[in-house]
Parts: sequence; C-alpha cells; structure tokens
Amino acid sequence: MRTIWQDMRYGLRQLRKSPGFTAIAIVSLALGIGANTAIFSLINGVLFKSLPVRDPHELRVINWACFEYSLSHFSGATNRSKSGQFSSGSFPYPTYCDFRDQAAGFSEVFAFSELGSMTVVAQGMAFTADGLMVSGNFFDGYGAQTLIGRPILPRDDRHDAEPVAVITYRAWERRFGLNPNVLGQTVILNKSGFTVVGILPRQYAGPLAGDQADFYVPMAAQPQLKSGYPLASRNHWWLEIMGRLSPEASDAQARASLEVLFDQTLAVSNSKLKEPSMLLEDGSRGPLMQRKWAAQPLLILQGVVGLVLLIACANMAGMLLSRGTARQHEMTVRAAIGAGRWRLIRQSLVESLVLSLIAAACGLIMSSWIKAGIMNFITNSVGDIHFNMALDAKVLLFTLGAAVATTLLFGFLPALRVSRVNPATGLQTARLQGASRARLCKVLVVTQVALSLLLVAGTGLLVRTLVNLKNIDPGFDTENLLVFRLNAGDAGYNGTERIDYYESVSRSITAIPGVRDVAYSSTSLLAGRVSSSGFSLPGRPTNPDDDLQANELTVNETFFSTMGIPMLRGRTFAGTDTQTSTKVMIINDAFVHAFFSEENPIGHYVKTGENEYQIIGVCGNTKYDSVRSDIAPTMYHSYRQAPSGSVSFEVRTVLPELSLVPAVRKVISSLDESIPIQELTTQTDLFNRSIIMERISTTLCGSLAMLAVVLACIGLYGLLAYHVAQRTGEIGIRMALGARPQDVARPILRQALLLVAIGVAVAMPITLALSRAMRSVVYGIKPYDPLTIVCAVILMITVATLAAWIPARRAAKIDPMKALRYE
Amino acid sequence: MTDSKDALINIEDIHKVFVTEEVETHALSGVHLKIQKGEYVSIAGPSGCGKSTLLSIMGLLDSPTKGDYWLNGSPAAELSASQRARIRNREVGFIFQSFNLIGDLTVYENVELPLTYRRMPKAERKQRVQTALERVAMAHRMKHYPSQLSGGQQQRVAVARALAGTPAILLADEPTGNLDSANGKAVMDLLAELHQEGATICMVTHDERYAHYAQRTVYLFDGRIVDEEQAAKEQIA
Repeated sequence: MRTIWQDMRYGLRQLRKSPGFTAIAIVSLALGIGANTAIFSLINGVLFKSLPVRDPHELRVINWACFEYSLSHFSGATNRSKSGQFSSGSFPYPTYCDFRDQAAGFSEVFAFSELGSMTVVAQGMAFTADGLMVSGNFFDGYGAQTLIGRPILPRDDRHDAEPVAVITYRAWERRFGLNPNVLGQTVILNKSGFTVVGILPRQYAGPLAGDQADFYVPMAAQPQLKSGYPLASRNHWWLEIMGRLSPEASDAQARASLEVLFDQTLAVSNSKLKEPSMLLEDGSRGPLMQRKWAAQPLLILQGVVGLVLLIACANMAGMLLSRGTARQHEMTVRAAIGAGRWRLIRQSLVESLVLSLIAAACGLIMSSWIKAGIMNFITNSVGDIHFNMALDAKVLLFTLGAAVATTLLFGFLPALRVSRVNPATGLQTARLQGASRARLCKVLVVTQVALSLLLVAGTGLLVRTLVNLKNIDPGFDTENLLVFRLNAGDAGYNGTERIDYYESVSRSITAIPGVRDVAYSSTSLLAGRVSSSGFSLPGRPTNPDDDLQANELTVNETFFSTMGIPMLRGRTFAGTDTQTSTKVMIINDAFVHAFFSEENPIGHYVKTGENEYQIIGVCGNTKYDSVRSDIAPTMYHSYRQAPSGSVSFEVRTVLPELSLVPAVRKVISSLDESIPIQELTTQTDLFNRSIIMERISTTLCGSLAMLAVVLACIGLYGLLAYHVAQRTGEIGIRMALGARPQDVARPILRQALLLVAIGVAVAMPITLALSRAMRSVVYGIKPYDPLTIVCAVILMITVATLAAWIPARRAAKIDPMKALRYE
Repeated sequence: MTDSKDALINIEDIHKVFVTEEVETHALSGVHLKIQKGEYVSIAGPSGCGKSTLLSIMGLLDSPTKGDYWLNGSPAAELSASQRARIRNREVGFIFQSFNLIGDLTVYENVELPLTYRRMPKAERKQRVQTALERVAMAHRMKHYPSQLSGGQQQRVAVARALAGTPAILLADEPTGNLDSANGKAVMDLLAELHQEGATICMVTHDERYAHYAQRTVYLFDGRIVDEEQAAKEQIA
C-alpha cells in the first residue's frame, strides 16, 4: 500500500513536470467523463432514481395485459411486447374501488389521473397550470407528506365534501411567493373553487415522468375538472393505479387477488380483453412506460458520448505511448536496479489512474454545467419538466467507474509497452521499440479519425435533415403571426356566447394599430395537436372495407386569408354559414387528389358522424400538426357551425408580432379578465418547436461531434509533434543533404493525410451501415447521402491538415545545425 | 575578386559568435581560407577551437555572423533557407563522424536520398547510387539497413551518399572519430583514392595520423587560423 501511495506521489510529480501534457490530458478526459456523467445523471433521474417517498420498494404499479382488446372509452398509453401482448395501466374508477376495498396483499391501493393544463385564478391573477386528480388515500399510499398544512384525505374524496387542493412547492414559490397564508385561500381551477389545504415539500416528486402537475385535487372533483370520465362508469378507462404491498405479502398473492377482481370488472362492462391478466411492476420509480419513452433519446445520447470517451481514451493512449518513449531511459534504469515488469506496469497504471481521477473530479464539475445546459435547452424547447437530477451515489459510482474504465482503456497498453525494457540492451533497442510504438500510435489515430468521422457524418445527416425541415414550405405564411389560445368554454360561455366572445376579441384585436388580420381556429397549425375523423362520401362508389379518415380543423371566416392559404376553388366561409344554415366544408387539395381525382368536388357532400357537409371550397395544402408529418387530406369546418370551447387565435401583424403582446393582453383582459391568455407564442416559434427534437439531437450530437473532432485532432497533432521531436536528428541529416523546408514538411503532411485516409476507409462501411440505421430519423435525404458523407470527409481532412500543419511547419523550421548536434 | 572566382572555397574574415543568454562565445574570429578545386585540406586543432563550426559554414549548414564566403564562385553568406538547401544538395557532400545514416532507410535509399531532393529521374538515380556504392565496395549490401552494418561499412555508405550527387566538395567532419583504427584507415584510404581521382576534400580531424593524408593542414586555435603546412609527403616529394 505504501508503494502504491509512493507511485501516486511520483505520478503527481510527473504530471506537474509536464503541465502542457497534463492540461491537455485532463481537459480531454474531463470532457469525455463529464459528458458521460451528465447524460448518465439525466438517465438516472429519468429511469433509475427512486421516488422520494416512504419505503419506495413497497410500491407497485398495477397494469393489465391481454392479447387483443376492444375498449369503448380509453384514455392512456398501451405498450406491445415482442410476444404480441398489450399492456396498459389505465382502469375505470369502479375497478380502482374494487382493488382498494378488496385486493389482498396491499396496505393501500391508490389512483391518480392527469388533468393536463387548467385555467387557474389565484391571488387575482389568471394563469395556466397542470393538475393531478388523486384518490383520497393517495398521499398515504404514495408515502408523501406535506411541508405545511395537510394532504388530501379520504374524507375529501366524497361528492359532498368541500373541494380542496394541495399545491407543490414550485407553485407555492412561483405563484404565491412562498406566502404561508396561502393555506385556506381559494383558488379557481377551471371556474371551480378549491381551498388550498397543504403545500408539498421542495423535494417532493409526483409519480409520473416529468412531473408537471402543480395542483392536486381529489377524485370528487371529477364532475368539474374531468367531466368526460364519469366515476361510476366501468366502460371509461382513464385512471392509473398504484399499490403499496404489505410487508408480509408477495407479488404473486397480490396479483392473483387483483386478477379475480379484474375479471369481475370485465364481466359487467362492455369492454373486451382477450386472455386478460394483471401485471405488477416495481413502482419505486413510478409508472415506467413513460420514463422509458423519455429515456430513449438519452440512451442514444449515452451511446454517442460513450463514443466520445472512447476517442478521448484513444487520444490519451497515444499521448502516453509517445511519453513512454521519452521515459524509456528512466524505465530501463528502474529495471536495472531491480524493478520487475509488474512493478513497472503498476507504476504506469497508477500514474494513469491519478490522471483519470483528477479528470473525473473535473468531469464531475463539468457534468453539472453540461447537465444544466442540456436541461435549460430542453426546458426552453419543450417546457417545464421535472426530474430528480440531483447527484447521488449511483452517479458518483458511475463517474468513478468511468475513471477506472478509462484508466484501463487508455493506460493498459502504454503500461505494457513501457514495461518491456531490457536493462542489458537498454538504449540500443530504443529505436526498434519506438517504431512499434509509432505503429500503435498510428492505429490509435486512425481509430479516432474513424470514430470522429462516424459522429461527423451522423451529425451531417441530422444537420441536413434540420435544414430540409427548416426550408419546408408549410403552405402558409409563418412570419409576423402572433398565436395564443383562449378558453371561453372553461369560463362558462355556451355555444352562441363563445362565438360572440371570440368575434368581439377578433374585432378588438383588429383595431390595434399594427394588426393586419385576425383569425381563430380550433387549434393552431404546427402546434403538435391533430384532430381527425372518419367520413364517407354520400352518392359516390366506395369500397366498404375502406376506412376513410381525414384531419379536421374548425376555423372562422378570415382564417384562410389571415394565414395566407390560397383558395383554389369555390369560396371561403362566410358569416352566413351558421348553425341554422346548410352545413358547409372546405377541403384541401390533398383531399381532392385522394378522393375526387380530377373531378370538381364543389357541391359534393361529405358525411362525418351524423352530419352531411356540402363542399364549398378547395384550399391549398398546409402542414397540420408538425412540419415533419406528410400533408394529409384535411376537412375545414366553419366555427359558427361547430363552436369548440377553446380556440387558437392567429394575429397577422405588420409590426414585429411580440411588440403587440401588451396591447393584445390589455384588450383581452378588458373583455373578460377571468379568461387568461394561454400558449402565447409566434407561428415561427411553433414552426421551430415542431422540429425541436431534430434541433435538440442535432445540437447535442453536433457539439459532441465537434468535441470528437477536436480530440482526434489533438491526437493527430500529438502524434506528429512527437514524431517531429523524435526525428529531429533525421530531419537535420535530410536538411544537411539538401532537403528544402517544403521537402521536410511535405512528408509529415502526407503522413497525416495517409492516416486520415485510412481512418476514412475504415469508417466508411460502418458509416454507411449506421446511416441506414438512421433511415427513420433523416428527412428529405437518403440515409447514405453522398453529399453529407463527402462533406464530412472533407471536413475531417481539412481539420486534420490544420492539426498536422503546426508540427510540419515546426519541422520545416528546424535548424540543421542544432538538429545534428541533437543527433 | 579573381581569386574569389577561381577558388572553390573562398572565406574572408569570417566571424561566428554564439549568443546564449548573457554569454557570447566567439567560435570563429576573422578566419581567411581558400580551397582550390582538387585540393585535399584538413582542418586540425584542439576540441572547441571552431573546426566543426568552420566546416558547417563551408557546408552552408550555418551562416557566419560576419564576413564573406564564396562557394564555387558564388557568394554564399546570405542566402535563404531554400537557396542554401539547393546549393548544399548540389555542391556539397557531407561525411559525418557519427555517419548519420537514416535507420529506417536501406543502404540504397540512404544513398539515393540527396538525389531525390533534386527531382532526378529514377533511372538516373539508380545508376548513380549503383556507381557510388560500387565505388565504396558496398553494392552488395544495398538492401541492408544501417543497423545490419559495421561502423566502417556505415561510414563507407555515408561516403557513397556524399559522392552520389557528384558534389563540388566533400566535407568530412571527423570521419574516423567513431571507427577503430583498421576501419579508420580504410576510410582514409578511400578518401585519398577519391582525391586521387580529382575530388576536392576538406576534412576536420584532431587525429594527427590522418591529418597528414591531406595536402594541406590548417591549424585552428581559439577560432583563428594559427598555422598552415603542406602535407609532409608533398614537401618530401
């Protein structure tokens, strides 16, 4: 142990002696380890971290499974296993009651359901926030306490109980300024009053991935907040259920008990499940299905950063091999005075370990910056999401593991090489060994170039995909368009009142100087929401097996002109198209091509549900829910004939759109201050958000690819600089024999290009294979896009040439006299 | 100036000062030297007297701090790095004490090396390398690497490399310094034969035995030429 400590001290001294080498080594390793730790922290937070609740290991998520299903009112996600079995965690409320009251093996069975975005009025301000509807025993079963006040209790979960709410620390901080007097205050959630009875602690995390809910209300609030899902119905599947297993019970017992109860539910409902069974999933991390989905891009990213670490290791191994040559004499002396081979290997490995541990410590610091940067980027792009990303033993262990793994990866080979000294022949064999080291260094540089090219080519495909997506014409003008949402339905306006309200909003905004046009629709284009409907074409021959589906959007009369969507045939909607007049519809060009071919569709009818609509116009094609999705046949309804509760407003401006926000807010507040503006943004922003995943992956992969290229260039530079230093004498001889500076520099550049060429040749088949794997990711290009691959190769060659230029120039400037003296 | 043009080497009042930190070392202080075509001159003197510095300046490996230098009739004191390299390659053949063969190249490639810098056609290079190696009796070892040769053989290869480019002058810096007496004598005999065949040779040596192989010996002391003498055998003759 004492000798290891001695080796460590010696290692530190060696590192201090070469500050340049040490700095490059620590920075490149720290970047590699830091990036890996950051991504692992995110994965840990999303996938592995236990919920901060009492005895999380006792928690179980209850799911059902079957091979086929037919459910009339289902809301939730299903997963299909490789064996073809479907599973889901969505249940009717009465089933939950059966489980809670009768299931054996559980100390508590509790339920919850997402409320999504609600309109909240609190402390005189209207805003939107997410909510979670929970059973009365939720907090007890889940194992969470409140910071102040009390949790929701079973007595609150009765239809005659006073409506109560528990809020998160986030909401308390952001909306109530940490005012403790919030307890007992009434907050309005979608027009219904709830008394705040408790505040959850800062470290609290809800059971769902991303945990966006800020307001918790009991199930008894279902009629006010989730009216489409009656508590009494056994045919509405919408509730997620978890249980806390009794310490003395087994999973098998609990599952058997649940299966009996579940069969009873199926027997009295019209839902059909083939070979139903119950699944009990470890609930210590909440329902995993969502978490796995959220972790998927992170797992891919972990692979990419792993590749970067591999490059850093190859880089380090190359640097250590070069350094080993310089220390050959020292090792020979050590061997001569009795150091065995294992002792020499150990010393070299301990030195590498010292380097790795310092790099790991720096990497840990860097990881917090990288993590914050990534989270900031994601939050800015997709909104507030909350995962527990705090540093824990798992992350520390991962970092330590990464340090040890990197030590072995980059340190073992140089250690083996450096230990191969023969004290008898010592310096005489140095040249032969040097040559073999150089070969190994070259192999490492080729590896780095190949791996970097892989990343650069992959990033190139992502960049081209992003450019293609950005250049897509969505079919309407996205510039100078302010977009926001109003929900008069939640504010209690009925059908006709809504039309009047939205019309008055439209008129008032139109009157604002700088506004050119105003329109509204059931949803904004490119907002990620899509509504579709089955339809038939009365009087036209259709195949009865055909499942005719088209997207649908409800819009007002000014929608097409405001959005800049051309009318190709017929007319647009008019104020006269009301609920009492003939129901009319406008279809897009894609609809015409799909169902009418060359025929003029004007005057024909489309039947959706019970209603028949006369086609009065054909408009140009537009992207609907996202930039990436194909243009589908779309049916436009008149808002006056189908007034939905909430609408999206589109305000075309002649001034910069965001400069009009204060005026728009003022107008809306003056019309009804209880209706908040939601999702205020610009159409350009919606366009950009629509390609957010591409932007995130391109930015992250691009940064990592850049890092990889820099590391590969450091490796190449290091190798060539080392070669120049080693060959100073030879270069002097060549110059004495008449070699001009360019005669000396050229072979060095040639060597660099040769290594890059070999790296490219090695990487090419792998790049092509991986490109094919990216088929589902790329857009508007072939996965093996030659332009991208050629550009990646050119980039690699250019950067490598620049990296090689410095040592080549240094070689060309060698003074032959000094070089010969050196020899 | 007529002298300058006639002499192969014409050095006038050459000074060389090495400045390291605060110390100035005067390696050469006003050296005058002329070497005619076909001459065999040795430069002798104790260690540190400036012999190798003078040879380096003559071989355009170094430039004088002050003074004039004509090589083969052309001023050579102030040339660019590329110009100096070109003249070195065509006019000068070096023979070093430590042979300075490149370990990664074969005997053939080592001898061919200076010719490659002239962009000479391959066939001509081959012919010249062959001739040079045959001249030093090393043609049978052309595929060997330097590490497979003895010291004497390595120096003969170095002589062949110096000869291959048919330079105006051969500059030999202690060519026997790393050789045993038998091999040393063999190399000196080889140089003598080359001189007999018309080569101009300037050799630095501190070995009295070999200094007398030359026609003329220049003695250097503290950076100055202190004496010159004709080779004894010539005088006797």
